[in-house]
Amino acid sequence: MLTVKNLSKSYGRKKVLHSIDLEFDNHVYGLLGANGAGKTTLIRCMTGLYEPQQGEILYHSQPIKKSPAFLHDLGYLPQAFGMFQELTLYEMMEYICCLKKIDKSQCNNEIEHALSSVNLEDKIHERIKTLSGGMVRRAGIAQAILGFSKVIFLDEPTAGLDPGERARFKNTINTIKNDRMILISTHIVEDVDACCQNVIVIEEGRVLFQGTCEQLKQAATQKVYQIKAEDSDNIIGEKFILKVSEVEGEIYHRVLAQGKQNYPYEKNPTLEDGYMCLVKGIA
Amino acid sequence: MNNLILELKNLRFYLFIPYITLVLAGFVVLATLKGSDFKDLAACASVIQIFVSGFAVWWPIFILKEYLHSPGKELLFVYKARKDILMNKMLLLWGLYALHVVVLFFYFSTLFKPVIYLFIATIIQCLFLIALAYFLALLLQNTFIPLIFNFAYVFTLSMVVFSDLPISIFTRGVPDNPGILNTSVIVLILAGILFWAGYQMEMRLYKNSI
Repeated sequence: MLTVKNLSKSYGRKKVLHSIDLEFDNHVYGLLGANGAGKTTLIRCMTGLYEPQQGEILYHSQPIKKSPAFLHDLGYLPQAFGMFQELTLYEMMEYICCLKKIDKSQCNNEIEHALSSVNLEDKIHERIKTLSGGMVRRAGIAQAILGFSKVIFLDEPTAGLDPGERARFKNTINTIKNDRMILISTHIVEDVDACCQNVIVIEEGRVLFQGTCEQLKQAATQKVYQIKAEDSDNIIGEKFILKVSEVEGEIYHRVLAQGKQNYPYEKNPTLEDGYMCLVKGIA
Repeated sequence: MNNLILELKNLRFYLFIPYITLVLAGFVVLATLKGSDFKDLAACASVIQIFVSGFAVWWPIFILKEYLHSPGKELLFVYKARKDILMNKMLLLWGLYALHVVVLFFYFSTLFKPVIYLFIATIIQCLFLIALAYFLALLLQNTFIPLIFNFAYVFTLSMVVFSDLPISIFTRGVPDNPGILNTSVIVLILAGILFWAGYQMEMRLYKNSI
């Protein structure tokens, strides 16, 4: 459906993306990576906003720049969203309808449908500036799905949201995900675990992993140990402390370690374990 | 066009500033004529050029602000088709402002004649100042500096409007003959050059500098 072929992008002399190859179908994808890994640049290239120095992005085998279907099917939520503060939610959505060239006769229905998908139908006549941060993010998702967009890019959609709004966001994604390709860029692993079937890990502009969440979890199989803090020094070889916790007055370390250790390993590694395995090079 | 209406609506109170200025220009011209026994047409022409041209950039600048400074501004570039360029929006806003100026000049035509040459000179000045604001906003990725520059340029030159400064876009003297349009031809060409330069930046530089 959407193919990224040998994509490279530089800012001046600094190369931000290095020969990226990716394939996307109608699934929800999580794009994981640390701050500055190149997630936003990749998404901006994929939306057509940035011109890559090398490579191409194809939508149904056609370059996105020459594909009217891509422009029609595209939905995008940028990292920061909150334009047209003085317009009402309905007017802002009407504006996006115009940009997306949605037929005027269908605008009203489309807007109502999109806003009800994100539970904002009761705020339709309120000004953007009066909405809470979470509501503005949901409004951002609503504008992204307007006109039944089939290719949706969400850049850091849960950044700055409280736990309630984050849970609501995950529910929204699970509600709208059918028959769509959704790419969620984030550095919050739990968000990917909750909404995505597939995950892409990017580090310093290079793709480290593309596969299912289960496959990423398996990358940490027999590499995660929950041990007492004082035993931490007994780990042989390279290690990385994932988490420090207190259980019944005792300090425990969740350790990522290469090679077999003299402690029982965690049977069910998490997505975060798998992700850290990749980025720390413990594979 | 619907988008432009919504963008203007988003300006809220700021939308009305040019209306206030145009009404004020009408009163100032009337006061100037009354105070000089309906003779000082040259002074009226200066007042009209300063007030009308000076505020031509108001709507374009505040609309450009959304494209340059609002959170999520890149969305406006992601969805739009290749043909939906900002330059067209600037020209539309100039047209819209010119329509308002037409109404004002109908009123002026009841006070003194002829107004046609002054009208042409004024709307060409408006076009130039909008082109300059568009160019500077894209060049500097900022809307505040072009706005300040516009007012500094218009009001500084208004103070010295009777001098022969070659950088002045304003016409001098009584606007009763086509001769006053000599400067306007150059101003029109300069406006075209600025629009072209701004367009090149919009197409090549702007999208990669967000």
